[in-house]
Order: sequence, then C-alpha cells, then structure tokens
Amino acid sequence: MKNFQNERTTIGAAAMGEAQAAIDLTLDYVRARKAFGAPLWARETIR
Amino acid sequence: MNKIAEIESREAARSAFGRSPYFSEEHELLRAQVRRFVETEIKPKALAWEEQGYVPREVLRRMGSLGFFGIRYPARYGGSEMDALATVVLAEELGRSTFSGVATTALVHSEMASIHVFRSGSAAQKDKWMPGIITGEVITALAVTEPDAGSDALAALSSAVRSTSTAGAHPIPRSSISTAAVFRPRTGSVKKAAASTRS
Repeated sequence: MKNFQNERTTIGAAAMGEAQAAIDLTLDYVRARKAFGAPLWARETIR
Repeated sequence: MNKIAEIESREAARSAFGRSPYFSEEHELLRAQVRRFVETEIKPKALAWEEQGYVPREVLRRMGSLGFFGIRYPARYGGSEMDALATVVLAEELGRSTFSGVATTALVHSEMASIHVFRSGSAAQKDKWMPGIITGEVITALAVTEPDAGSDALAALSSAVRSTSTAGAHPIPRSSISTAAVFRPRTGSVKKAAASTRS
C-alpha cells in the first residue's frame, strides 16, 4: 500500500486540474452564450 | 489576451487571499513552465495523439529535457530534488490541459512506475535506469494486474523464476509504447523488485 500515497496524490492533483479546466470552460460558455436577449450568466438558474 | 495571460488573470482574481501558503516561489516557477508547455506543445497537438492512441516519444523526451520526470529524484541521476507539492503542481497543470491521456502517460511514468525502480532497485539497477527515466529516453510502465492485486503493486503475488524457457510467459500489452515494464514479483520469501525490459 506504500506507493498509494504517491499514486493517489498525483491522480488527485491531476483531477483537480481537470476540474478547474471544466469550470473555466463552463464560465466562458455561460458568459458568451446568449439566450432570450441576455447571456446565460444573467439567468438565475445558471448563477 | 493570449491563453496563458488569461489563465493567470483568472488565478489572480480567484486568489483574493494570495497564493496558497503551501506553494513556494519555486513551485510557481515550475507551474509557469508546465503551463507554458501545456499551452504551446500539448493543447495544439493532443487531439491527434488521442486519435493515434499514444503520445509521441519526442514529446516525452522534450518533457524529460525540461525536467518534468525528475522532479523528486536525486540530482545524481539528473533529478531536481523537489518535494511532493512540486509533483502536485505538475499533475494539476497537466490535468488542466484537459487531455488526461497525456497527463496519465507522463504521470504513470514519472510518479507511479519508475518510482519502484528508485525505491526498490539495486544500486546497479538505479545507475542503469534512472538517468534515462529522468531524461525521457526510457519510458516505464507497470505490469501489475493480478486476480487479487490491481493498482497496489506491492500486494502482487507473482513470483519470478529464472528460466530460459518461454513456457508460461505472458506478453505485456501495449509494450511497444514503453521501454521498460516494472514488475515486482516475489522471489522466494524475499520481496524484491526487478525491472524486466522490453524494447
């Protein structure tokens, strides 16, 4: 089990990076995409 | 605004309380270097790599020459002797590329497979393999799957027998992609690591 410390830390950190990229992509999209005259960002269901 | 400046301005907006106290200046320099590599050398090309199913060797050698595979290994093998958080920085930024296949290729080699050679290899094995592992000339993989042991390589029960016969030998899947497969069999009652090589 000793190497789990190394492996799992690395996998966890890579997943953090991926999650951050997903949030960034989502934020870009909801700011750019317009529906019914306003960006999605302005709709309370998205915020 | 270019991509890197954009990511950086986002980071700045996010960290109203300043940088995490766990990361030092050295970590941030590494982060900037990995980020630059991701933006210029991974993102524009990685879709094609996913299509072909592997990351080209010259890219891995380039990562090795930038020091990405020797972050925690001793300087005598060509490593930079940084701490576990430096590995976290490397993994976070590679993950952020959104190409997890590329991230996994690099991280399995540098953090999950080669570490067995480093921790359990003999001095001679380390002298032979570690410099190439760090420069990216040698790419390691793990040969670990067993009925009772998957990713926990140290729980494997397979034993190593010195033999010239190939009866009972198993081919290693996808071995064309890696230079060396790290296999940790038991030899008698003593646990030992052996690096079995294929090219």
